[in-house]
Amino acid sequence: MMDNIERNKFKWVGPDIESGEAMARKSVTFGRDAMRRLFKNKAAGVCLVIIVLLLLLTILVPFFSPFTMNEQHLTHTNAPMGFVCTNEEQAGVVHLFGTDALGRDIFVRTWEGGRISLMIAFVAVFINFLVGVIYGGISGYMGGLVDNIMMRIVEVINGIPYLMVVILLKMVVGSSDPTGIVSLIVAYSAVGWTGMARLVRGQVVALKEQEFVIAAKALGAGSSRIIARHLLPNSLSIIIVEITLAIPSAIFTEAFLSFIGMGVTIPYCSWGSLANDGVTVFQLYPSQLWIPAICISLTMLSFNLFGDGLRDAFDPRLRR
Amino acid sequence: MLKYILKRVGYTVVTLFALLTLTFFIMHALPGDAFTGQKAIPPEVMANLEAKYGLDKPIGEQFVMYVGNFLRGDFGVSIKYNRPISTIISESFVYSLDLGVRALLFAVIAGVLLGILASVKRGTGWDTAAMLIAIIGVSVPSFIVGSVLQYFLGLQLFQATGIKFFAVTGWDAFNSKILPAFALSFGSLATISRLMRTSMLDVLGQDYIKTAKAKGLSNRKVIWKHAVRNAIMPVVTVLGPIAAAVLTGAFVVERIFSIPGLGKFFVQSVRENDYTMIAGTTMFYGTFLILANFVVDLAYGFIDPRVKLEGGK
Amino acid sequence: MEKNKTVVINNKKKDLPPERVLDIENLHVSFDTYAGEVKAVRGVTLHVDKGEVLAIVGESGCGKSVTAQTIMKLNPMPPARIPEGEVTLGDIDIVAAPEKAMQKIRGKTVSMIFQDPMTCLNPTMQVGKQIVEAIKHHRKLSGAEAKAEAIKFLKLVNIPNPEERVKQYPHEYSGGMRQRAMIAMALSCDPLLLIADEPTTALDVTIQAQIMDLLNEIKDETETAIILITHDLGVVASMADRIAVMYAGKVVESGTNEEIFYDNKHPYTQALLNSLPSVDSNKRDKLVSIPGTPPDLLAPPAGCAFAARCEHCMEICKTEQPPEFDIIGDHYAACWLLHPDCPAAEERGELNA
Repeated sequence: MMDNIERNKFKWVGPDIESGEAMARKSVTFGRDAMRRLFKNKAAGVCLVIIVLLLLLTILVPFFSPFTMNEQHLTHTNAPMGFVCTNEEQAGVVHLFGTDALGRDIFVRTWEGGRISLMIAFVAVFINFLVGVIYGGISGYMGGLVDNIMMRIVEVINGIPYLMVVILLKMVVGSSDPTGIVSLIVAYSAVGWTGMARLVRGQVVALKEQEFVIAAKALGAGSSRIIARHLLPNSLSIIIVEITLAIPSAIFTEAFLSFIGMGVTIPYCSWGSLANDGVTVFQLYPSQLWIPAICISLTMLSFNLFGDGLRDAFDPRLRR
Repeated sequence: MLKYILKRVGYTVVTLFALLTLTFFIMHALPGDAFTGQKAIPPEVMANLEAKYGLDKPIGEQFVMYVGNFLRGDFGVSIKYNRPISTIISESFVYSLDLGVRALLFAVIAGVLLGILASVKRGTGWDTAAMLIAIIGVSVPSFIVGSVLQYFLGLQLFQATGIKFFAVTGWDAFNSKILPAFALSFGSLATISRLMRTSMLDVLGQDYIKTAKAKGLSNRKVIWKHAVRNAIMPVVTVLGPIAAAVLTGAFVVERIFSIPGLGKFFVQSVRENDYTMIAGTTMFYGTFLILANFVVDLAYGFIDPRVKLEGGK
Repeated sequence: MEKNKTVVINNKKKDLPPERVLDIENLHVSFDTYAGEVKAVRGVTLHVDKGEVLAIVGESGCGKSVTAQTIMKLNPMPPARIPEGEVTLGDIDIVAAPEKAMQKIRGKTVSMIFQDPMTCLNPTMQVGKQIVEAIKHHRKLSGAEAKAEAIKFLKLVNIPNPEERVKQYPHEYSGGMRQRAMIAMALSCDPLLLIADEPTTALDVTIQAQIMDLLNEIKDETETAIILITHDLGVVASMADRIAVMYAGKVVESGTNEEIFYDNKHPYTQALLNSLPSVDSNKRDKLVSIPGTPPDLLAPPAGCAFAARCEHCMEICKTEQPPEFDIIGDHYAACWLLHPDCPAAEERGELNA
């Protein structure tokens, strides 16, 4: 019933643990794997390109524009998009986005405004990041009563609607701030750090308990080594994602405050204040609102999608 | 449960007190003082202010008076209008509340449904479409949504068809309420649908869903009777912040659609540097939202049986 | 079996013995993942008779849970797939049965209890309601009757004060009680087959014994057949009628309880038993762990899956899969050592033989 099998096939070779251990999947480092997944995410890639483009435009356009942001052309106010100048000195020069009610070139104002909007957002988020990491780090590291009190404070701050606080603070700081830029940053940073603080604290507490940290301690690793080798790499990805997602929220706050008249003061402008100007002439010259509106939305959208992409890329549960 | 309620009451009181202290000291921190530093204040307004806030008394006493006034529902006097702020609020807040409640209801219902749809049809075109709507909602501020709707659905559609589907301004007929309510709800709808989707995906991976399936329940029953009930918990917890977003968002939406709500007054007072009005309205909004948060927390305690017995996490 | 239009009767299997509850033949289950096709189950053949307890034993990831869930088609498809094989439950062809039919089978003909009772009950629903839900779904009873049934079954699984307990939520139950409630739910529609997927793994040792006692009672008092899935041979020793040992998606040895414990033939079974402490083991006897890990089922080895860890490994084991060799009656094992041509250990050149 059985086929006969050559005897030499039954030669003993013994176990070979190594070959069994060799994984069929190639092992990939965490960072490289995250990058691979990020680049596979087309939406995130496109968003990164848009973000870089927007940044370049805000940096470069004001240098190369034939107009300055407050230069008025009273001969052609509220000119449509693509208007060609007819006056002698600037004949043939194009107002790409048209001009506003005072005859100012909207193209250069858009990118000047973008500079300020993005600067406010970046600085505010950076301050939030610093404060949040320090506050959350201390809270999580100390633990016990200190942690308890510090987190109750955060909870109370979170209980007050943040826009209300920002408006109040903006009112106070704004009165001694001629540009309105610093006060926006201060007001937003005063309440914006709580999210980051909670996140960092959560990370620190969770990691303090984690077995691999305890194992590292048991193996005699010093505190600095634990922080550098274990805490940081594990928290970094989450913090980066949080920062990316905090930027659109800061941009929104700036735009919102500018829109209700609490933003940067003349002669400065931001996307929010441009939108605010645009809404008054909206029914006649809709493009004056569209342009800043699209800039705000596109920036927020790009950062949101890019942040989502980053989060998915870093999420170890999604590793394959 | 009692412990949980007491804890929430405690938090609410402390937060309210923090808000009061903040507004009080901010009013005093304003350069030259909000009350006395303004040159343009007419004498009769000034007299009114002094009586209200006891400006000649020491600061500690002023604070006690301030808290007392607040507890009596007195938010001070508007410098510009020389009228009690509480009167202005009682006249205009009904519009804001009407708008806010409509927007909130729509955001919650549509957001939850969209989130469920996206999670159940995960990875399909439905999911992509729902999440595209959500990401746009999260990224486009309400004043832009409002302007876009007003321009296309209000103006252009009217010009193209000659039929007035949506009124562009005001707050009276039903067709004047649709666009502002939608504009106001869009961002929250997006936040809720994203949260609901994540929460649903999490719940659908839980063991008790497998148990429900192993009982032989149909997919529909598993989703509606077991998954949604559990997945909706995180959505309930964010209702407080969502309400805050809706109410503050109303500032700009009311401005765009010329709705005579409190938000419009608020924006106006900002433009006119009516400091007492700003502080009074802020305090009112703050109180309202802190109380709303409290109600949401209590509701959560009743919905989640785990909180009911253990007295909170 | 109730006659049901949507149920697909398996005509090919008319010749099965009448007491046969479940018959699995050459079942393959694969999962399509990004990395490729994971062949989780690679040709499993099993059967369970009425009132019998079959234990499926093996390391985690060997495909025992996948096999069990395939009986109820609980693995989401896709990514899961059944490329080959037959599963016959009663007289129903499970592989061909559509989802609608499966919904009538799950909980009624076959029910299941899971590993972690802490997460298996819906936290926002009263325990009683969760049981009533199963009863009402499969039996035409009024709400009050279903509730009475739920109480009856809670009593059956020794939950004290069941009239009060039905109204409580899962977090008010202890771990052991939750598992009892799960068992009550699983039994509430009098299934032909109960699958217990590691029912005691997540529980304290003392509670484990109580749950096993309860399953034993059920075995004695009802006609329900039980499939007991575990990685712990100790758990099954007292209870199982027959044992199937699985490794890397295959059944490597199968036989009665006695045969597996005292007359085992497969080196993997032997290794499993050697890693098991027993009361009568000598002080000097060492517990032996099995070195290495099971193979990655993305790319299963060409030969015997256990070859890399087997101390008797031979040339042929690396290249060709061993067929099943019948030993006595229902006892069989898949190992080249059992081939009639296989020479003695010295001749094979095995060291420390």
